[in-house]
Amino acid sequence: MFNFLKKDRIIAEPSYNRWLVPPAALCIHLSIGQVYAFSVFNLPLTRVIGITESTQQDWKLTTLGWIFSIAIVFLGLSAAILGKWVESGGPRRAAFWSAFCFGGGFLVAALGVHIHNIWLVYLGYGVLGGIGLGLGYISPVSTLIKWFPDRPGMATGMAIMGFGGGAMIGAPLSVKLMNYFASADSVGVKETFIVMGLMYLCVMLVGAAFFRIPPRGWKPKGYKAPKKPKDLVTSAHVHADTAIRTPQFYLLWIVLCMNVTAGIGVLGQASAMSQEMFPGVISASAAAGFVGLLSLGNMVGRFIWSSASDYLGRKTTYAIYFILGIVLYAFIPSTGKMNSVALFVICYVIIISMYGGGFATIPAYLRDIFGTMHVGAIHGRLLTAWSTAGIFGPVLVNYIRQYQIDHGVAKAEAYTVTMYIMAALLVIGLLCNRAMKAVDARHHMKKEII
Amino acid sequence: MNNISEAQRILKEKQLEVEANIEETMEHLNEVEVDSAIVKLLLFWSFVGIPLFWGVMQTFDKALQLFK
Repeated sequence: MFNFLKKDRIIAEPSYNRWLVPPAALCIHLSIGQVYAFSVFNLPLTRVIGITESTQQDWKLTTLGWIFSIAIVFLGLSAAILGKWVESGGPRRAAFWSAFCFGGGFLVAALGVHIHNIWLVYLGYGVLGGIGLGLGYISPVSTLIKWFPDRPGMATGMAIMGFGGGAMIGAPLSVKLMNYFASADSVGVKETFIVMGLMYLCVMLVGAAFFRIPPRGWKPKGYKAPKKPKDLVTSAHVHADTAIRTPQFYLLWIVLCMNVTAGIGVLGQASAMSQEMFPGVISASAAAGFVGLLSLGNMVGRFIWSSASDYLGRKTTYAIYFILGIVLYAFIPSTGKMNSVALFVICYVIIISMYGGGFATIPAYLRDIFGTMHVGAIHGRLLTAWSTAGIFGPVLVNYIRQYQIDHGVAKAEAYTVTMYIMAALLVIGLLCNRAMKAVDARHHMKKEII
Repeated sequence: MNNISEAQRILKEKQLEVEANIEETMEHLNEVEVDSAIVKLLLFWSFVGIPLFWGVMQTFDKALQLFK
């Protein structure tokens, strides 16, 4: 029944244009990137019963906050657990099931809103949607790397840029749909969930249909693999199960975790932080503009930095993220003292561009270190670093800020220590990146197995 | 004898004409194939590019409030 999903059915014919693969990947990533915009539903969901204002029976914000957290946890878990399944079955099968999980998650959540059962919303958007996120996130990665051996950073950067851009489409679209469906009996969330679920299902299925894998041994026209490979770029392959027994995997795990922790903590607090650091200068609406600029920086950084990494090398690119990040984090408290909003904004946009760049560069870094054969599965396992950072980063920023305020520090200066701690995290990342070496040849897969 | 060589000449000419026609048709078919591949590529990139551009413009509009 599902023969059309099989890996051997999607081997590209000779005339297939490899530039069709990035938009297929973008169909998936632009859809699942909506998760970053889920917060636009939070306030309306607190008024599902009361409609105009919250009642006693309505859900609290703290209850609703769990929907996003569950989705991110299941993203990490499904990517880690199902990575090998994704790799063995090919991108179309993974993208197909990702579409049904993510789109279906919206529909189950809509039912949860309709009967006002939060557990059904958790199950729908959180668990089912989260599995769709994990499957969708890793599905195009190894395929893109195989189609673009000459520019793997740029290729994965293009797809992962879509994950950053998904919120830019998802947030305004959700608001417009909720306004359209809002009535005297409904806040419009349920209807919006149904429309978005079906829309994302269709878009993701279009992406899945266009996926092709290159025939064995395929190379782009005119491409010759370098005779002397660059430092840290292997032509061998490491099995996913072996990779997690190498120190390189854990070094990369810490590198990603530190880079994401520093960025994600700030992203979650960006609006409040900008207003508190510049009281009376940055208003609530200007702070929303600041968050918008960070989203743009996040998206553009994914493409630019990962493309640059094809020329600079992955280790150098990460070294830039960390060194520049340390300097900028250490400098941010001074921008507050100088009362310079422009410098503050520039520093943060660069920092967040490197946060996005870190996500987009990691698949190519994994390919350099472990080879292409199991890169999707290894990438899935490495994404547990993201789940960890997703909990660790915001907690660190929030608690340190609160601790400072409780001890009499002015709100405008409550972030100073946090910035220095973020810089310290980046120092750890820098050291781990510095320690990165090629994987020992005994871990390479034997030619007869390949 | 003359008639035979004339017939051979005409046959040769016709053969060359048919070959040229086939070549022209193949070239045309290749062009059509390349054209349709480009159209497919443009359509697919527009399918993802237009919503992304719309999203970026919406975000950019919001971001401008920072400088107002």
